[in-house]
Order: sequence, then C-alpha cells, then structure tokens
Amino acid sequence: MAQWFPEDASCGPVNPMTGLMKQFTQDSSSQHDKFSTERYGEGSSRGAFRTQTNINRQEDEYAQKFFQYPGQESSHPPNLYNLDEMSKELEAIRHDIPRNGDWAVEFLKQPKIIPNHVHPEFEEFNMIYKNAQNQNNWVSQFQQQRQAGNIEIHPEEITAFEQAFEDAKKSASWESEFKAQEQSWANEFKQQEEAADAKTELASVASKLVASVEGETNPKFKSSSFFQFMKKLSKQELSIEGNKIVENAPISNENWASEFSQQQNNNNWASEFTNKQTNSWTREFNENTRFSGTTKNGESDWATEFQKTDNQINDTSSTRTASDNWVKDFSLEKSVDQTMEDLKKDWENYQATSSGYSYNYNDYEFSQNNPFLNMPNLSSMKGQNLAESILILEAKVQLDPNDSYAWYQLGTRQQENEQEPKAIAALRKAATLNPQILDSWLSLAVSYTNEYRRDDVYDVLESWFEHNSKYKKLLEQQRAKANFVDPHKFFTDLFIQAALLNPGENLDPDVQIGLGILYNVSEEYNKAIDCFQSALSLRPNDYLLWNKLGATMANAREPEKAANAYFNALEINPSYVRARYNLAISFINMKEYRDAVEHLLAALALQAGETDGITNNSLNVENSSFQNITEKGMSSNIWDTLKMCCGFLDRPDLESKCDERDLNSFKQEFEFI
Amino acid sequence: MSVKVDGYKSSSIFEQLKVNISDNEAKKKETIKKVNAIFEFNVKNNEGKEQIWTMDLKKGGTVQTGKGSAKPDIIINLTDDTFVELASGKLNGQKAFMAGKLKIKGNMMLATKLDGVLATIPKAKL
Repeated sequence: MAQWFPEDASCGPVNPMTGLMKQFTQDSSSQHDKFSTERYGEGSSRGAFRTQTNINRQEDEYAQKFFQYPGQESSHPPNLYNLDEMSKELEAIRHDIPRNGDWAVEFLKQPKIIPNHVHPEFEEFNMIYKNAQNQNNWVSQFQQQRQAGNIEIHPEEITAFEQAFEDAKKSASWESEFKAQEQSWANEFKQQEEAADAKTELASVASKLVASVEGETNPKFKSSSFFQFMKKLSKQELSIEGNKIVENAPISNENWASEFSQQQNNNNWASEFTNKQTNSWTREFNENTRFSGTTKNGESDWATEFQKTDNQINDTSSTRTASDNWVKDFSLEKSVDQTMEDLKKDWENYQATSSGYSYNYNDYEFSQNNPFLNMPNLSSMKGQNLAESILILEAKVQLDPNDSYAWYQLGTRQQENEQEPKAIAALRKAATLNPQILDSWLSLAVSYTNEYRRDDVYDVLESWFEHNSKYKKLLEQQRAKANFVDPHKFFTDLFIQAALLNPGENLDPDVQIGLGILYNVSEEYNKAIDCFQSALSLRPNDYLLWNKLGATMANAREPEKAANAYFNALEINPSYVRARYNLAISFINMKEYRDAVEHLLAALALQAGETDGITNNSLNVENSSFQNITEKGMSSNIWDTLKMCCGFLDRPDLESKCDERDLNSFKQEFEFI
Repeated sequence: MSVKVDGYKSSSIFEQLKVNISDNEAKKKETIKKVNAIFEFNVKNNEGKEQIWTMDLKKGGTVQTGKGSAKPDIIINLTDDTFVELASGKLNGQKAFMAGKLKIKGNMMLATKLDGVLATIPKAKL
C-alpha cells in the first residue's frame, strides 16, 4: 500500500478515488478475488464488491496519510469527505452480503495465508534460549545488533571498535588479577575472623562453666585460682593463642598474675603441656581427680575434691603441680575446640531430625522380630540372600554392639541394599568403635556423596588419611603447607600425592576410589571414570567398584555405557539391589520404561527376600512370616521410581499398586524373579 | 500433604518432584541455589479441566496444588500429556515452546531452566 503515496502526492488535488481505481485494477491479488467472486457470486454483486474494497483501501489510505503527513489535512480537496456516494454503495452492500456467502468465507480465510509470518514471541524465546546457552552473551548480542542493521558502521569505526575490544580484553585480565587478589584478601580476612571466633568460642565455654558453678556457695571455691582463671577467660580478659595464655586487659588480681607467671616459668609444665596436648580434657580431668583422690584417701565427690585440692595449692608443691596441670589441660585450645565441634555436630544432627527432613544418621533402626536373634549358631551363618544376611548381621550387632567389623559389614550390605541412612548409621558405628577399619571411612564417603553431604565427605576422607599408616604423613605435610579454605582442592591434591607414591602398576586402588569419590562430588565425572577404571584393573571382581563406575557414567549422561558396567556388577553378584536400581534408572534415561519397571521390581523382590518363592531353608519359619519382616526392608525411593515409570507407561492402575506397596500384583504382567 | 489430583497424569510426577525436593535437605538447598524461582503450572487434562500446581524453588523448596502464597516468577500453561513428555525427557522445553505446546507468562529466561526442574529421574548412586 505504501507505494501508492508518492503517486498520490504528485496527483495533487485530483480526487484520489480515481487514482486508487487505477491502482486497484493493477493489483493482481485483488483481481483474483474478483474472479472468484464472479465465478461463484451473482452478477449484481460485482459492482458492490469492488466498491467495498475501494472504500476499505480509501479509508486505509486516509488513515495512513493522516499519520504520515500530519498537519497537511488542509490541503485535501473539499470533496474528499463527501461520502454520500459511498453511503449509497454501502446500502447496496448490506443487501448483497448475505447472498455472497462464498466470497465472505474466502475473504475470512485470507488473513490466515499471510506468508512468512513468524510469531514475535517465538523469536524472542529463541533468542533468549540461545543467549542462555551461549556463554559469550555479549558477542552474540553484538552480532544480533549488527544483523538488525540499525547501526551503520563505517570502516574506521570498526577498527576503533576492535581497538576498544582489545583494550577491553586486556582489562579483563586485569580484572581477573584483581579478583585473585580479592580472593586472597578474603581468605586472610576469613582466617583472622576464624581466629577471633575461636577466642569467643573459648570465652563462651568458659562462661558456661562459670555459670554452672555459680550456685556453689563455698567461698573457697569461688576464690580458687581455677575459678578466677575461667572467669577471666569468659570475660575475654585472657585468651589462648597457640600454647600461650595471653592477657587482653590489665589484670586486677595481682596475686593470680604472679602465680600465673610462676607457672609459665615452670619447665616441668611446659614439657607436660606438650605431652598432653592431644589428650582430651575429660580424660585428663578424670586422671587428675584420681590423682588428687589418692593423695586425699580416695574421696570421690568432685566438688569436695576440688575444694581439697584447692586447699592444698599453697601447701604441698606436688598437689599444686597436679592442680596446675589440670587447669592448663583444660585450657588447651585444641581440646576445647574439639568439644565445641562435637557439640556443633550434635546440634546439627538434632536440627536435621527435628525438622523432619533428613534422617537421623546416628541411630540404626533394627528390623522388628528378627528371627535370627534366637539362633544358636549365629556366628557361622551367612544367609542365602541379601535380605537374610542383613538380618543375620543385625542380630549379631544387637547381641554384641561392640562388634565393629559386623557393623562395617552391615553398613556395606545396606549400601548394596539401597538403604543409605541405615548404611550411614552402621558405618558410623563401625568407624567410631574401630577407626582402623579404613574401608568404613571410604564407604562412608560414598554414602555421604550419594546424600549430597559434601562437608561430611571431606571429614571422613580426612579420617581415612588420619588412620592410614601409609599416608598419614602426607596429611600432616598438606596441613602444614596448604590452608583449608578450599577443601576440595586440599583433598584432591592430597589424594594425587598419595597416588604418586605408588605409580604405575603398583597403584593403590583405595586411593583411586577416594579420588573417584571426590571427582563425583565436584561433578568431574570423566576424571572419576578414569579413577574407577584404574582401580578396576586391579580389582576386576569388585562388584561395588563396577557399580561405582556405572553410576559415574550414568551421571556423565552415558546410560548405555553405564548399563554395561552395572551388568558386570550383577554378573558377579546377582542380588546387588543398588546396581539393579541404577540399571533401571539408566533404562529410564534410555526411555525403555518397561525394562526399567522389571529391574525395579527385581530390586524390590530382592529387598523383600523373595527367592523363587521357595521357603527359606536356613530358617524354620514360614515364608509368609519371613516376608512380613523383610517387606519393611523395601526402599521407598525404589517404589517412588517404580510409580513414576508406571506413570510414563500410562498405567494409573499400576501406580495405585505402588502406593499400596503391592508387589504381588505385578507378578502377572512382569517377569522379575 | 499429597499433591495428587485425580484425572491428571502429571499428578504423580508432581508427587515424585515433591519427594525429590523435600526428601533431602542438602539436595534441596542445592536446587534452590541453582533455580531460584517460583514456577506455576496450569495443566489442562484431556477432559479440558484445569489444575494449578506451584513449585517454589526460591525459598521454601515446596510443591503444592493451587497457587502459592508468593507471586510466581513464571506461569506455564500446558496440557497434561505435554507435562508428562517434558518430565520423562521425551520433549524438551524449547521444542515444546516452538511447537506451541506450552505458553509462558512472566520471566521467559526461566523456561530454559524447565528441563532441569522437571528432571524427576533420580541420580544413580555410587
């Protein structure tokens, strides 16, 4: 339509109708309309149709003219708005329209056939999507703008721009330098802050202690040097830095101060101090009470004991040293820190349970009515399947809660059984009872990785090093030279150093496993795959390791390769529930939902302890009652995944069976035992 | 509280999403950090009925039926079948949008995160 205007303008005051008529007859698309109406419509409609189109165009044109040449309305000829003729025509149209059904339909269709029309929303979305994917956001935006052609860029401008771009790149490197600088500042600041925190923590511990003995009315106790010392600590008049006690403010009690300096000059104390640094306060305290107890004829009450010791401080030098030791040992920063850390961890665990979201990893929840509890020959029993062996191990640790190795076995079996919280609880027990079972630390690291508890992963890996005679030295070296701001870097470096001790064919698979776990935490799956593969080269029959490899591959989005690794694991141990569950997940990722359902059902059947429907011979109980016990061993996460699969298969009937935990109703349709 | 509504296949997926999110505190924190948005889904089933589910991945980390207490950052209109296809990975968010299978109101950037949000398939375990 726009091309009409120049012509119209040159035509000047002539009635634009005539110009339009000319244009109109040249418009082939409109002629198409005309022909079709002529063919289908009545003869009398022809005139009406054409006029109508003219009116529409004319109106459009006027509107456009109005918008394009504002203020020129006055130049229009007077007869422009003479619409008499038009209204007459309109009258005619009104009569004709109903009879022109065909034309009307065709006309209505017309706007839909606009060629090359793209919804603006699509373009916008496309652009956003591309931008989100494109890391060089700025570059693409720049390109788009150039393509849009809104800006004309002259060659000199381009060179100037490129120059500016180069400069910007240089400044970018400067920026990163600045960032690094900032990071180190931040670290420094953080360390200082941590030191300050340690002081306040110490003070709060001391103040708690002061508060707890506030009720003590004995004036001697209150004036005792220990009490004074604690009070000072709590008021932060004193603080402990490294091995020295530092005064923060002028000391009011001169007596105490002189006593204190005497103590510091005591060489005995210094050596004793270093000896006892690693001992915990409580043990030290107990020893001390015993010691003073012997001097005072075995009195046991703490308060009186303390009082007695206090009495003797000024008298006998031997008792005095004992009491002094006690004071100092208590004030050891390390032991206090340790106590605070333990308290903090307990607190965190408590919070997790009270909110009801996370599991309480501290208490192992035993199966009810475990028939193996009454078995006389328990120690020799192995169990025919995973469910049974778990019950046997549970019975073992219930009868002997200090059997650390049984706890460890129970933990790893619960990992196999896809019961992470129980596995963690059991492994924690094993590790506390006997920290020398190194594998329990590694297994814990695995469980914590699965549960997204990064900090705990680092903690247990540290413990693994701490109790590992081969690598303990490395940990100490690493502690001395590296700071702990980035725990991931700290431990990957540490593991790599450990791996370098035994290069080539002598590599330690455990080190590779630890490194693999760390790379899983940081989602560097390809590195993790390398680690697990090299560990497998030495332990080709470790089904747990095959599963670790598979899971890593799955998380690296390679479900086909992952499935192969799982099949290897299942070939070695067909009742490996976790590998089956993982295999099902891989099938879901490959969109093979039916296979996935079958493997999930197989996993559940294994957890329930079903073996070909034959009664368990190692037990003289009926199968049904045995299943009542083990059915509770089925993981809810497997049921949830199964339910989701049924949803993908569009089977709401099976979904409700999942809610009911009804494994039997799946037997008719699926083969899984 | 269940987020199940009869007559919707998406219903069980929302149920699973709810489990996935609220099951593990550490994972929840990570997801909220990554997504940081409230999604409102307006799902139309085969009978032409509409049902709203809200996923709060900004503060609470919750899944609920109906509108949430806070204003959503993005409202997504789609059919029950499309939702299942998205969640099962048969369809990705961008394709669905291009095919006109979902309509979006609000911050369109967030639609690019949709695939991650609806990834109901659990992670393989070591």
